[in-house]
Amino acid sequence: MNAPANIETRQLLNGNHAVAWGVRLAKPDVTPVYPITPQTPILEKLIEFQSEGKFAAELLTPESEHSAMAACIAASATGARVFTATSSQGLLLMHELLHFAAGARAPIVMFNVNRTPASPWGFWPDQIDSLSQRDTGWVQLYSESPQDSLDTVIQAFRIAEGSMLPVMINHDAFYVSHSVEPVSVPAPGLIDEFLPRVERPMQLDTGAGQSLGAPIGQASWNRTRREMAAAMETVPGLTEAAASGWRAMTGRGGGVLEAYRMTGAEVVVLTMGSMAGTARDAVDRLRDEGIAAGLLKLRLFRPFPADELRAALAGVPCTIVLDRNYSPGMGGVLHQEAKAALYGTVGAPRMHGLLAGVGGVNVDVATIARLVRDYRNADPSPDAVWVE
Amino acid sequence: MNDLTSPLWTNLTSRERITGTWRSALPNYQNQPSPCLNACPVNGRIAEWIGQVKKGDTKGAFVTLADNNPFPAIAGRICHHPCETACNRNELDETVGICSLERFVGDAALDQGWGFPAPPAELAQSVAVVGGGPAGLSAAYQLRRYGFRVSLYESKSALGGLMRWGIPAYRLERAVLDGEIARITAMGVDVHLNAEVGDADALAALRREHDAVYLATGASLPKKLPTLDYAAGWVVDSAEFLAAPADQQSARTGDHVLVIGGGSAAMDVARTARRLGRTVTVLTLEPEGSLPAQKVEVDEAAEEAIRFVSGAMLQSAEAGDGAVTLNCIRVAFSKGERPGAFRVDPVAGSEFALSVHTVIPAIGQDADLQRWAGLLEATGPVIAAGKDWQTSTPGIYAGGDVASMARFVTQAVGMGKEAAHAIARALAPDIARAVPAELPEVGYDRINIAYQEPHGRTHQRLTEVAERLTTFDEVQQPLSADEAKSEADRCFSCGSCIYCDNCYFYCPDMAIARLGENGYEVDPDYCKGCGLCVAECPTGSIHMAKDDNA
Amino acid sequence: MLEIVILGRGGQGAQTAGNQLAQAFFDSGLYVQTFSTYGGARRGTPVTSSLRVDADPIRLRCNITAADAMLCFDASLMDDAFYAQGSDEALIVVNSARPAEAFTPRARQRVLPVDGRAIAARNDMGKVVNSALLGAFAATLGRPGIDILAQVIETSAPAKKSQNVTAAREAYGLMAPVAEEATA
Repeated sequence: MNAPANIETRQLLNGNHAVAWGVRLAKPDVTPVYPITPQTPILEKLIEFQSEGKFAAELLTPESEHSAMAACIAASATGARVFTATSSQGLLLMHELLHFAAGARAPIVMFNVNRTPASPWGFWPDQIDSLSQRDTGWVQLYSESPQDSLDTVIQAFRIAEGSMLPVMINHDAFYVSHSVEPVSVPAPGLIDEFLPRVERPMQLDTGAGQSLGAPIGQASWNRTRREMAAAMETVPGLTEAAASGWRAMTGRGGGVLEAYRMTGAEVVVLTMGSMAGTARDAVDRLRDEGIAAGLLKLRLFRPFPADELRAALAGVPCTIVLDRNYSPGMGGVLHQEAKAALYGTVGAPRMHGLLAGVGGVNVDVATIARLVRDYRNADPSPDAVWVE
Repeated sequence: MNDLTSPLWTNLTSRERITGTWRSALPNYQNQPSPCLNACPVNGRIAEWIGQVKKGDTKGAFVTLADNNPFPAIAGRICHHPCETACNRNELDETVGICSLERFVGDAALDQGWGFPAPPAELAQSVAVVGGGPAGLSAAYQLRRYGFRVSLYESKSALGGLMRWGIPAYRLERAVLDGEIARITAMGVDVHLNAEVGDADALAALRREHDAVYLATGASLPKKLPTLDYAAGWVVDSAEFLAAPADQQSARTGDHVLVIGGGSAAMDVARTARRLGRTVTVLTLEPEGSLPAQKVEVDEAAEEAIRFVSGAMLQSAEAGDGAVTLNCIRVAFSKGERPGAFRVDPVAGSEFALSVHTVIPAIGQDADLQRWAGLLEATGPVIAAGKDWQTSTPGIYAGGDVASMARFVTQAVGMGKEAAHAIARALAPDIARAVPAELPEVGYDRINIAYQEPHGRTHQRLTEVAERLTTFDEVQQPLSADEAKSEADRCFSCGSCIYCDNCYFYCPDMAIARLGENGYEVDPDYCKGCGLCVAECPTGSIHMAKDDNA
Repeated sequence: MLEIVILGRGGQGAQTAGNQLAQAFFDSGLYVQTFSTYGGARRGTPVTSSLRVDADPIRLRCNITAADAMLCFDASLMDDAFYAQGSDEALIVVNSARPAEAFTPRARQRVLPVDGRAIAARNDMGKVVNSALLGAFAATLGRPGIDILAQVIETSAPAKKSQNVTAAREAYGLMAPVAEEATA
């Protein structure tokens, strides 16, 4: 692997344990977590680290995810570095407080394992749990692999503390959360340097006599959203800066968008999360067949990187969006967002929105290659299409 | 966000919102009587002193107890404890063992030699107390606390009255009795032993010599059964029997003793006779389960192999050759309206006979009122006394068995206390304790049991039966310090603030301020009268009072 | 790329076997990826562990649909759907005392039974067959080497370390000549 041997060690870790390793290295002060399949191995590993004396955070296990997030907000407001993790139903139970956390400008980092929400009951990879939280004011990042998850959770603290916005990182259940792979784990000293403690402009302080989030008038409330908008504007830059710092240190990782074989691409697969991995092999196969295919992996979903997407797709005649999620009555969320971002752009590519992998159904190399062959010359439909 | 003027951070506080204007009721912190306090014959502040035991402040508990009762070690052994019957905790699991806790505190006081403080100032007035039993000693104690000069006249050779001459040592160790009496006399009581105040003239003379007289001569005349020949050698008077030393008790009783009566004295006679090695039968008018004696006494007597023939009456007795044949009949027993009143109807054809060697009737004692004829008026079997225990002769007060049909020791202690305060109100109104205000009692519905875990009571251990019958040592064994702490922790502290801060923390308007040992204060500008503090109070020591002034 | 599917019932150790095999390949200097079904992974329900091995980093994040080799802990699970998960030439090792002829694979698939129960019993392992099956499977595949596998078992076995290792080595020794003949 490309890890500098003296600063990283390679271990076989599943995606969740890779997250726990990243969190251990980021040294949060407080971690309120409620267990839920398939997130639980993150919590279990953190508890194991703590029992070994390797993880000093205040580890709270409250009675629900709602309470866990309430504890996160309060702890963060005092200036503590805060981490939590959840999945699906747990994330949805937090919904009210996701708005609260973002509004309170609490730089919490949360890891969400993407899982189908009930009903019916299931444990399968599907991103609608986190995508349906897109308007809460949280920064959202999507990870492709266990290594990506370890790397991203550390970078997320830089983004959160730089923007004073909460950051949610997501990886797919099963294919990432429970997939055991070689993962490079950076040495602790490296991360201390990468993630210095940031002085907060304001924090709850019993001696200061300041209130956080007290009831205020309409105009003042309006101003808080303008301030959040300004903060959101800084996130793509912070994400790129964190990624380039990480690359300089480890040689790994992309930024806001990751391009794969985009040179001269005439058809581009746009997707996020674990499906990007399989799509890489599909692109290779298509290139071998003589089809000029490329891949754009969206890593930062909120704020939506519209400028970066327009630039990356300039001159590309056809884009195929693969959504492992379904917003009933509208289609794939990534498709919907990408269409909106490109609307009115001169020379925007034809765009196909394919609902592939909803509910965790298997999408392999052959499937992606076939979809690209089938759709690259087809007339685009504004609506999403269910595919096998 | 780095802009410190962001409206997200403000100097706003909820102090600007004067929510008090919404209010129609305001919480009122007021310690109110617990059911045990109201049931207690001396109105002891039980919740308060148990609270002190919880905190490990045994000395403080003793001081609180002694405010109303100078005999915690005695009462902790023999009180009929109506407080426990009234205890709110009974609704959750079992009543708190108040009596055993009182004994714990009383024993600690004797062990440590804690005495009573000298009065704040000596007063010129003097009071004569006639009778050195529980009522007289209680009155003398309270009067000395005020600083009155007290002369105590006792007809017998030692103080204690019924506690000494009627209650056997296996229920009340004599060292305990002596210790608690000595603590009172040490306050400076002028004690006259073997000093009988024999008639109305002597009493009137005492009245002239003193500013007030308290009369508590008890009930010294045994009630008599018409069917029994009291002159016969096989009939023994119960009071004389209990007062006599053991060798005389043995000399007066045959192998099989019949005790007549179902009260506490009857149990004492029966159990004493058992300890002398006698076979004992108890004959009672009342049916089984309804005896006037305390249940624990009846239970312990039954454990000691005393046979009960209940719901039956003696009709005649025939002395035979060495043994006495007692002709009895079953009766239907019904209680009358007044305490102590009853009616019996013999059941025809239910006659039966008992054969015994000695008969000891123990059916009660009456006060000798004849002595005071011409000076003190009587109401039925007792001296007439008003609400403040003053008799028909001004300045003469009365209490205990001579003035009441309430026959328990602690009731006499309570009467002595009340009379002493009444005397003080007459002689030194400026320093006398006021009659306490009537406050509503804190019922179970006012206890927030969310703060209470069910936890069974720790009972005192009893000596094994075989061991009991060989000695006159005490049957009930004391609680250990850990057991006492654990039992005290079961007390709900009904109506007494325990400074838990629940009200302070639950108040949604932060309208409650902590004043340390002075409790809490409600800020009327912010209290909107929601009542959360009252709902979350575990002890019922806050209540909502109507408030129209908001 | 070598793609392997291990099938067993919850509690038999199929998931542990997948992790141990992955570790052994990883220790041989190869890239690996392994994942197991979960959620329904209770005792007795079918559990699948999937394993990919390659000289290059593995990017695929999808199911294995044409496994090169399969290891089955329980012959009662070998239905048409099971055989369908293997490639046409798949090598299939099954924990069974029955002869190869008793099985009905499809296309050019070959079934190699190994009596894991007997080997486990001989090595004081009771009904715990995973180390024996791993030894037999490694012999069938020709990799990873038995010494590397034994080292992994020694390190990761929660109890009876030496018995586990001996069972794996015995099964490896028994299966090696059979596999050589079958795959010749």
